[in-house]
Amino acid sequence: MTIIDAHVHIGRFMPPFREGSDDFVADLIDSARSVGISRLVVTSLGNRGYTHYPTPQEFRAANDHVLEAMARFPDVLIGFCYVNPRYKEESLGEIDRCIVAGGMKGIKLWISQKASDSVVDPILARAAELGVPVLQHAWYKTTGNYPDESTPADVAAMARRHPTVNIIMAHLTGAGYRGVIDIAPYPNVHVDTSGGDPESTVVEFAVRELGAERVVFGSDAPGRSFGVQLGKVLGAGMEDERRELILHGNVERMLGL
Amino acid sequence: MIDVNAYRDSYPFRPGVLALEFDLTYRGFEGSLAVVSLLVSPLRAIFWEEPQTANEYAHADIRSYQQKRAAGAEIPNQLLVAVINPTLRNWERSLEQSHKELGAVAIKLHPNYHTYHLTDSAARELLRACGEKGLPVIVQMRMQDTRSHHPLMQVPDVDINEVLEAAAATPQTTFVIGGIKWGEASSKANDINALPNVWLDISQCEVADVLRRLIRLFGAGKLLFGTHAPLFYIKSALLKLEEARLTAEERELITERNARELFRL
Repeated sequence: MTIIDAHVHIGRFMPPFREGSDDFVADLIDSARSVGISRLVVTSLGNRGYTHYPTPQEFRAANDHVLEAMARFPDVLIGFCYVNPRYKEESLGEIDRCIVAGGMKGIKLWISQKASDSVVDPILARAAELGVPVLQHAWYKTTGNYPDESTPADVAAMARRHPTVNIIMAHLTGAGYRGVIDIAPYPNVHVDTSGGDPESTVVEFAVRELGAERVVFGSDAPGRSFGVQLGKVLGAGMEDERRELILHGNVERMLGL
Repeated sequence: MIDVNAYRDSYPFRPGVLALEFDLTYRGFEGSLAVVSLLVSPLRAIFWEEPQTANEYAHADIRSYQQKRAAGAEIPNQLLVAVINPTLRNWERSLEQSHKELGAVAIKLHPNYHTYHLTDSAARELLRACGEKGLPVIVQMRMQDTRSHHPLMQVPDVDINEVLEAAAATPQTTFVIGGIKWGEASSKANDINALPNVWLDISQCEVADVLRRLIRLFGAGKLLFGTHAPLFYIKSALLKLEEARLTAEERELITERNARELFRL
């Protein structure tokens, strides 16, 4: 069975982790393959570390790394373009460079702005024109979110304004039960299972509330383990047809694979 | 296969964890449930003011479970890990009862939920007493990601430095660090390796290829397979083993032999 991981990070600063290796991206792919994951949707959030408010120069450099990696592993890696909507023109230009010309398949928004902020609207409008999804980070943290870190309620507000864009809300465990309930009324919002501990029952809850068509497997590797995160989906109680949608069918549909 | 970090009872902050899916998941992995042993501690003991009653209930549940097993049911073996709170004046009696009457194979401590430090005198006494009785101590670092705690019950993680200090101060006591995170394990590797009485439960350790990295840091002899089930998906712990592409010897050590020797099973 094909398994596509919809949420993986690469970065020039990430060290190789296989014994004797000098190639982080190759290590990552090998690690994914060890548990049967064959394709990875990758983003880079910065060359020297994850950058909360990247400048155009910084997000271009990060995306360069993804384009290079895609060229090295074209059958495995699917790139998403990281932008900062606070730089409207530069972000729109970067989307054209990476997606229209470069072959990336989606847009990544992280924590440079809340998803509910209208500053994201030009980016979402361009996503609608291109027919590509937007992967939007979200989390409900008891300990407090970053200043411009979205909650699922922010993602719901984004979805309400852009009903034709497929939005993948990242981090099911971080979004939690409240987050699933927040996005349930908006059929253009999916949730990825990436990140957070492999807390049992939350995947079943998401499938029950959203339908399997709106749940996507993701790991958030390398900060997380491919095996542990895949175990959330393989360990959850559901019919095989639903599991296949989560493991590859939904992403294939959204990305036109 | 021995799972050194599993639980009984329900957890107040998450639904559905009563639905133990041990049977289906382990059967798929091991072929026969008869070869699976679970070291279980009662979740109620974390939240009740007096945990010994929860230990007694768990003991009774486990005994009926074992009777089913003896009657031929193909179910995993469950073994009690008793939770002790050293801030209660009766902890010595609870320890003795857990050891002699309830058949506990280990003691689990929750210093953060029971609001004490391992450096406190009563805790030190308890750790020494466990060493004298030959009972390993599992110090549980955390139950849940602090970012997702209930807003009115935010419980900080246990300080890894405190655990290592206590292990150094009571070298005759066997320590298992339950729910240690990758960042703690990797940053304290030298200190941990300097303590021959310390082992690591891998149930909450996570980063890409985490188990292979742990083996490189500590060797397979210091690692113990745990799931944190039913709070976590068991399948996640099992796939952690797969991701590491273990040799037969590494797998035997981590999933069985280390635990069998440590807990005298």
